[in-house]
Amino acid sequence: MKGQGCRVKPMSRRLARGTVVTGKWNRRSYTIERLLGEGANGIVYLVRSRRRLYAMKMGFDALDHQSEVNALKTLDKHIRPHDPFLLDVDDYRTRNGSIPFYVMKYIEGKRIHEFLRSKGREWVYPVGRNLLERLNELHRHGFIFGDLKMENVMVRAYGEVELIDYGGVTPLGQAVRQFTEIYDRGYWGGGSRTADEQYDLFSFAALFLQLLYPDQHIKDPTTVLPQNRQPLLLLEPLKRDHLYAPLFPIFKKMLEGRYATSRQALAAWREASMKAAQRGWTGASRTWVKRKNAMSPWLGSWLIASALGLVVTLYMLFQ
Amino acid sequence: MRQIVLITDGCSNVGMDPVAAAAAAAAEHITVNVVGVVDRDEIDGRGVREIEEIARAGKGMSRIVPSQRLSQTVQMMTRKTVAHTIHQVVHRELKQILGSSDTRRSNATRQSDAYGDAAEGLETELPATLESLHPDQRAEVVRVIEDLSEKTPLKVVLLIDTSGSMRPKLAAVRETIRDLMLSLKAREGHSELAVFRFPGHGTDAVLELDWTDNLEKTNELFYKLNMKGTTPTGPAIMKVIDFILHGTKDDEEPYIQDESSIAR
Repeated sequence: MKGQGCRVKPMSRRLARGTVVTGKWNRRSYTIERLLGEGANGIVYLVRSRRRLYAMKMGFDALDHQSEVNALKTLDKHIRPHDPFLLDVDDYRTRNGSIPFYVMKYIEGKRIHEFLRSKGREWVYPVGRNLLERLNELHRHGFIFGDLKMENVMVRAYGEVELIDYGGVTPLGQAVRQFTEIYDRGYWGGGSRTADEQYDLFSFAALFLQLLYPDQHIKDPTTVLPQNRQPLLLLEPLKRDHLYAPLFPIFKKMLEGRYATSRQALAAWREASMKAAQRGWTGASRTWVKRKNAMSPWLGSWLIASALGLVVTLYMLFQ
Repeated sequence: MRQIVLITDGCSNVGMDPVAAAAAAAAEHITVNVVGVVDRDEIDGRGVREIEEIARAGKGMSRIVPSQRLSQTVQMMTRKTVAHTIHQVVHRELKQILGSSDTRRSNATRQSDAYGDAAEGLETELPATLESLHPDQRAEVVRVIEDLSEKTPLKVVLLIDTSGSMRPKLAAVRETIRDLMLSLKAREGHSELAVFRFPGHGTDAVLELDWTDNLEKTNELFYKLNMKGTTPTGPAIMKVIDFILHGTKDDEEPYIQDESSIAR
């Protein structure tokens, strides 16, 4: 990648396990347990305070960081007033200056792609539904999530979905604050970068289609030429996949921006889940169902024939 | 609000010192951001220093990135520069209201050096002013900054080095322009983009794309380029400043292609 000589940025300095971080304003203390991840705007640690675990995000840039805190505050106020996500906002004073941080609920779960890989394909339906519900919640309150990607979607044991990293949250009508090319409507030539409900739905479809068919997962967005960026191409493998056939029209509509609201998309998704359930849930059970259907007429008629034969034989004997 | 984003991969070699040119831009309230695009070829210490110096003199930011990160970087810079400029204005107002003095500036400068990805140049005074506020007040200030940043009119000139070694990177540059236009269009405030390339034939810089908010036009860029090998970064910046302040002059033919130009 980059030549040794042109590295002008020093490496981010990470905090070691056991470091105690005390807030400058609220004086609450947290002990660093381990690194959870590093994003565009900051580093997230698992921390412990009074024997409870939390996630702590330390921001790189005071302005970006505060902007994320503001979005979280608004969402907490409107969406979950009794169970806030955001628990503490403060600065960590070091010898080299202050680092802004916030503390949030620690969500135990797996990233969506890991979850689906470990649990199996039929979980796509409930997980997708729960994710749409989360998005709809935001939309109802005048925001979009913006930066929807695998890394930002956590799934708990039974498919409950939590969004993490609110750096992309944008009020409806403004320019999307943060996005990732391969899920971005603008990158795919599918429309503008203005925050509307369709923007999140587009990302949702692009995300799921790349999740379901890892072969078409795009690692380096610069390798796809602009003229080849036709989002409907992502739908191709779905045409041959019977398990997800009910989802085809939904993804298509999402990529084309034809859902007026995420509520409509959610309703369609629920309907599709029912349809899929009636057809037989999993890829595995479907083949089993098929085999049973294929076998049973022969088996059945053979059984009936032999039963009849037996009856006839017995009848003849007792005659 | 006006910005120049210079995209280059090495040192200037003719004409006026680009650092002085950037200082001239800053004096006219035009911010100069610089991105060094480096793929396989290494950039030497002098090139890195020049890039940093231009940005410092132009009160902007500098980054050195591989071409696949060019698009992202330019967007981030543009966005941050707007927020920063607004923040300065808001800060001046705040100072008057709160009467607070900015005593911790040096502290913050050291922080951005030691702590990671803080951008070169721009943020040196940003955290200091914000961090001196209580988190609750900070929330309010940032809300105002964001709102103004979204709504303020914006003009951006991309100044592209198209000298020999930049040729393989022009696809990424074209992509960057298209992508930046897309993001600018999404803003609430009116935004326009113009593109200059340098060197030109007999001139320091050529207007490649006049002020526009039309996405379609970006596809036609850089198909005819000059073979001349010099990199007159300083004079090119001066030309762009003149363009921003006075527009295109009547005696110039911005779209004319010279005989020595070749199809890519």
